[in-house]
Amino acid sequence: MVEDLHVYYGKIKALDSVSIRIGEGEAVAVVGRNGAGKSTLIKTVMGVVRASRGRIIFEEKDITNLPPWERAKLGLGYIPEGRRLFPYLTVEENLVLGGYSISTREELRERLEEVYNLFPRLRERRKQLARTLSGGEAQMLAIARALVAKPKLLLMDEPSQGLAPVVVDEIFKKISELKESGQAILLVEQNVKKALEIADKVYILETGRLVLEATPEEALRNPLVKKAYLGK
Amino acid sequence: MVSIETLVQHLVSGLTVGSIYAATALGLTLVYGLLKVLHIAHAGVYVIGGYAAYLAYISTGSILLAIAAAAIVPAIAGIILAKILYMPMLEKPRHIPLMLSIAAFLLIEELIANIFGHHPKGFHIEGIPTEPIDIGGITLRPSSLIVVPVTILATLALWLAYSKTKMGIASQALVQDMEVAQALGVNMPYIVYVNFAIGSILAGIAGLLYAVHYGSISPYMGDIVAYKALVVIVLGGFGSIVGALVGGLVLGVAEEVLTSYLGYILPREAYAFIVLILLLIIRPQGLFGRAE
Repeated sequence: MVEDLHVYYGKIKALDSVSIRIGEGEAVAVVGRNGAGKSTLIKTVMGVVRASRGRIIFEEKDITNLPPWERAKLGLGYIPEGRRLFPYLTVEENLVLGGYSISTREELRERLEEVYNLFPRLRERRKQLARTLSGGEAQMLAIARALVAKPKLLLMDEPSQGLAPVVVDEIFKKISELKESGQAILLVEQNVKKALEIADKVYILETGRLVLEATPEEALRNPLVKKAYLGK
Repeated sequence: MVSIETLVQHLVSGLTVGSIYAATALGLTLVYGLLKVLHIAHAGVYVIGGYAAYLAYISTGSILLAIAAAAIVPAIAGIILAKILYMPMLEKPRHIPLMLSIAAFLLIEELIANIFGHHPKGFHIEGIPTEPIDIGGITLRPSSLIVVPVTILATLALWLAYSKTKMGIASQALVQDMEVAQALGVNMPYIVYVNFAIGSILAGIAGLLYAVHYGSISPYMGDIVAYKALVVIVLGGFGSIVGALVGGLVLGVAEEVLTSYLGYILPREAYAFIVLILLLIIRPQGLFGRAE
């Protein structure tokens, strides 16, 4: 849950009193144009950007002042915009980092097996450097990396960015499978159509302010949304 | 005519000096990779290592305690420097910690000079012969047989730790993307301190190796290291462990060979920079650096 969040970059206000709520097992999408503050929102929830005002509550715990690595331990999983893999580490080393907070070797092994079963292509490429992956594979790895630690809430920043439409379909199929398995997701997307397909609830962010909170069905019927975001 | 014997001799003595450069440059390369700051005060840590070993040795006569002192005291000094100089300055432009680092280096040198005197102190470890030995016509200083292998083994150990352990992989991840590594659970300050400790231990050991090789220590022994370690990490490629070793050895050998065959047309230090400039023209990212 995010409450009355304000974020500044220097003097520029990036988020202005944004409040959102994500229930257990719920998929929530925040959509909006470039520069609307979507990434800032997700980064503030993860803790890599600091909030100037407001609170972030995770499972009844106020995590607003915790460093990102503590938030990761509590169960936040982060899929950054543009994938941001560790390019000079292998696929498997990237995954091992995703499981950094797992303490026993056996558990880590098990978790790696599980994500390899989810993304068999990554198993084939486990010894390759991450920089050699194609765009789609890289996005798969970014998702898998966040899943190793079994996060309670998955934060996804623009998973469709820079990918060919068929690859976007493939990625969203995976995301929808994750959601079906009960994974709570906060998704930030420019691709409104895709985001509406999987979300239980959608927020629209415009220049740092929330302008709409709706179910996907309501959003699809909303004339403003149709015109501004779906090009109809 | 150049004889093989003298050439080998220059090589060995170049490798010995180069080892000391390399051992100090290793710590510098670790820190640069993580914090993108030139840790000039590292040369001060090297001096601290030399003096810590000296004090431990003259008061106990134990070589093992001298080695322990050359490791532990610098490790603590390195962590303190990281904590007060660099961690609070993470968000600041990089020239600010650089200036602090230079100031800290000068402060350490002058403090040591004031406490222990400005003049070099003789530091001979019993059991290590100082008389040159002759192997097949090549005259060697016995200390070379210690300095070079110790450095190579230390680099190898560091490289293994860096590429195989969880701690090492976390360090590499921080180097490649600090923000994301933290978001995945890597406790950044902790890993930074560990890297500082390890780099500082290597600098301390290098300070001891200097004493073993030259038979003395001086408060200003860090001066040359301060900029030569920089030359070494530029030569080897910023952030590269193997590059620091190879860069150090190449620099030591190049200096030695150039000064012996060209004489002192230029000071020894100038040759270091000529080597550097030539290499940068051919390979701007350094020997083992990654082209950005």
